[in-house]
Amino acid sequence: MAGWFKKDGKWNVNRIIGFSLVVIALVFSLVGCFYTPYDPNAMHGDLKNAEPSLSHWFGTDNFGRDVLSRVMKGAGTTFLVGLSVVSIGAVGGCLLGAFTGYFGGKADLILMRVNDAVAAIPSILLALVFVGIFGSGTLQLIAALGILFVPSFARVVRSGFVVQKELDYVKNARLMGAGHLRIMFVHILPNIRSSLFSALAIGFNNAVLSEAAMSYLSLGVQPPDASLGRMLSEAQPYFFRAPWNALAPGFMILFCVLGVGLLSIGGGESHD
Amino acid sequence: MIDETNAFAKTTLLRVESLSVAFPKPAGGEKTVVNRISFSVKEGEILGIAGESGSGKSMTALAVMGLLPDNARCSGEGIFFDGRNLCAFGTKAKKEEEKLRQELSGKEMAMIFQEPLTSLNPVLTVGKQLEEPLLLHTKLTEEERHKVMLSALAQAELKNGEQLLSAYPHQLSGGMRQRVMIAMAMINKPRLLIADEPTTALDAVTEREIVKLIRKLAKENRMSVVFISHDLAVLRELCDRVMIMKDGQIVEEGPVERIFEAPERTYTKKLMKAAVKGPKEGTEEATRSREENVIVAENICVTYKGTRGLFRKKEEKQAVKNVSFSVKRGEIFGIVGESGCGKSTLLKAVSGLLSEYEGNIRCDSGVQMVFQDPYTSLNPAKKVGWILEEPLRLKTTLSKEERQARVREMLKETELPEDAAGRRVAELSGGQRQRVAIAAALITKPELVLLDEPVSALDVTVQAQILELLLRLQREHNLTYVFVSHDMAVVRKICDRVMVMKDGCVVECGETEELFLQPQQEYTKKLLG
Repeated sequence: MAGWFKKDGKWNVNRIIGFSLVVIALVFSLVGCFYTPYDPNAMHGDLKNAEPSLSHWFGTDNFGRDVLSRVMKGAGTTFLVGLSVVSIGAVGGCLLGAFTGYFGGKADLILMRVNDAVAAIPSILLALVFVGIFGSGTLQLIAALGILFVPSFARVVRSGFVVQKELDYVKNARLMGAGHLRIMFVHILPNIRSSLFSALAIGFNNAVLSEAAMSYLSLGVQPPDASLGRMLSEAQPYFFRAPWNALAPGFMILFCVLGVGLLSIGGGESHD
Repeated sequence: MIDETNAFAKTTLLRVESLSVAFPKPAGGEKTVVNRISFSVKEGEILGIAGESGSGKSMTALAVMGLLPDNARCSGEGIFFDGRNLCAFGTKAKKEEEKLRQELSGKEMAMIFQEPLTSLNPVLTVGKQLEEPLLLHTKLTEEERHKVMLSALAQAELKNGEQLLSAYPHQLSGGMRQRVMIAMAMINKPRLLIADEPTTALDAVTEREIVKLIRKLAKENRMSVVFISHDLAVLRELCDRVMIMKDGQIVEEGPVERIFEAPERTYTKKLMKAAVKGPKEGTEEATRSREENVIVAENICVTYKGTRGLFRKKEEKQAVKNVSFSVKRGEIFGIVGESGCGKSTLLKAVSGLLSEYEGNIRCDSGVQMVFQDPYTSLNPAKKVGWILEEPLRLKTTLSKEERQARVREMLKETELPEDAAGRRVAELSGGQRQRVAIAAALITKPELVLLDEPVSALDVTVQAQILELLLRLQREHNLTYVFVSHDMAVVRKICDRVMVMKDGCVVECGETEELFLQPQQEYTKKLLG
């Protein structure tokens, strides 16, 4: 384990800080799945916007709900959305990128131009259209963002395949009698894992931020359920009177995004 | 060649004093790649540095040029160029050192690299790149620069200078790119040229021309050259003095004739002996029972249609023109020629990797192939055991235990350590990788193996071992090889029959010894040198 944090005998600082931040965020959200100090949705009329104290570590919000409990619960929701979105994007992107990159030809040209067109429109705008058609809610949000994340993965995977398919080991696999699908997913795919991993890290961060943005616009997770973006949105009117309402979910997003980002940088360095 | 007394009269241009280069190891500690070596180069002298990969010869050159990777740790007394210390190893201010380097690099000292495709910038024209050293080190006007550039190209024996200046590197052949690199290195008339394996990526004919060019330029301009190569024949032709390196140390050093005719050290002798030469042994006995044809190819034509984008026109290039040949069971059939002569394309057509060809190919056996570069022909993401099992998974119905038993058997047969199955390709040396590639090709017990330059990327000593392995396996299993190479010595050593190709056509075809002793065509004579 200690070797994982070291490179050429020196400590890999990026990896250590990234790992610690991600662990903090994960512990918060995982514990939140099973236990929260208070019911995250229970309101207390006499405890509106209470300052952080021993009984409410992060204070309470405008409805008297415990902010710590809501951050724990909300982080879980946000991470779940982020992971689902990245998974949909990665699976879809791998399939699309593998086929277009491996076979090339006209289908590749056309699909990649469509890809460019989708990528050219701001993703939030497209998600808004999607939610406008299919209604708002957590599932719709995951579906909308997931589809929007396909192009970025497709491009990364495709460029990897374009390079790898020319290498002799692919020719060798063909001479052995391996089919196209086997060559694509068993022989080539493991060779582009390092670029895929960094795409996953960046994608996860973008997904978390997009969830926060969509929920902030009241188009994602619906009240009274907590999500980090939703909490930010609700905290906005009271920012100067009760800043802890915004700071707690804000720092949670920061920890998570920064942590994953540092981990992927640290990972990239050790690959070289 | 210069005689000793004359050489001593000259002044020393470059002097390296007990230079060491070390790299940090991932597990901690350091690995020393160059170990306290000292040498000097006199004005107008050509010094050859020979050694196998990993001997530290390239690192020595990079240290002299100040191009070592950032994590390298360099120590010693100094690298003196014309009396000035280029590298005081921390005793001099870093800035001062850098300034001196900038002043000298590209003007007094220049370097050419092994791979001319990656050492030229692909997005700039030849003219732009050639102009750069002039812009940095001279105050010439635009017309003067243009004139100097044209004369530099002419000096490097490149024709159509005007056209070349507006060409991009990918439009040139390997030999032309290397000439452009030489023109670029020579443009400010440097006093020292360092050449790191500049001919390794080139075919035999081009290699000889480049070597002659470097020698001519050195003698005309009284320029010193440090020429690094693993090819002893090249060094013998070019150098005044040779230095043999092994494991970061100088094994032997001396005038070229002495080193080649009376080597003192056992390692030097081993290196000389490993160089492939002479005819194949025991040819008579091998010719028996060669009746049946395994491959019959008739009138093969291959045309490449380049489809570049939706809207651009198709380009056509005929790579193989009307080639016919046959290969008999149990023979080693060689195909030789310069790069671009269509030999690899022909092999692809035979293997079935290329399906768009005209003509008839009859092949009575399953085909396996061994590629030139074991760094790309083995899947770097997989373990050796997985790579060897894959053909069995695809082509046989053996159980997992049976497959693994076959893998162990094959590792033994190719003289690989038994624990190699659990290692990744990246952990193996070049020679070991090529053994794995051979094992993977033979594991399904094919009768016919296509070998596409299987030893060209390897060191001389490893080359000899791999050739021996190939010959032994061929004898033991009565295999048929089609052996493609640009190296005439290797072909002579291993093949029963040879076909010479040029520009997609067959020039000559016949029994190896006959062809080598009495070549009928001018081109074959030129290839043989």
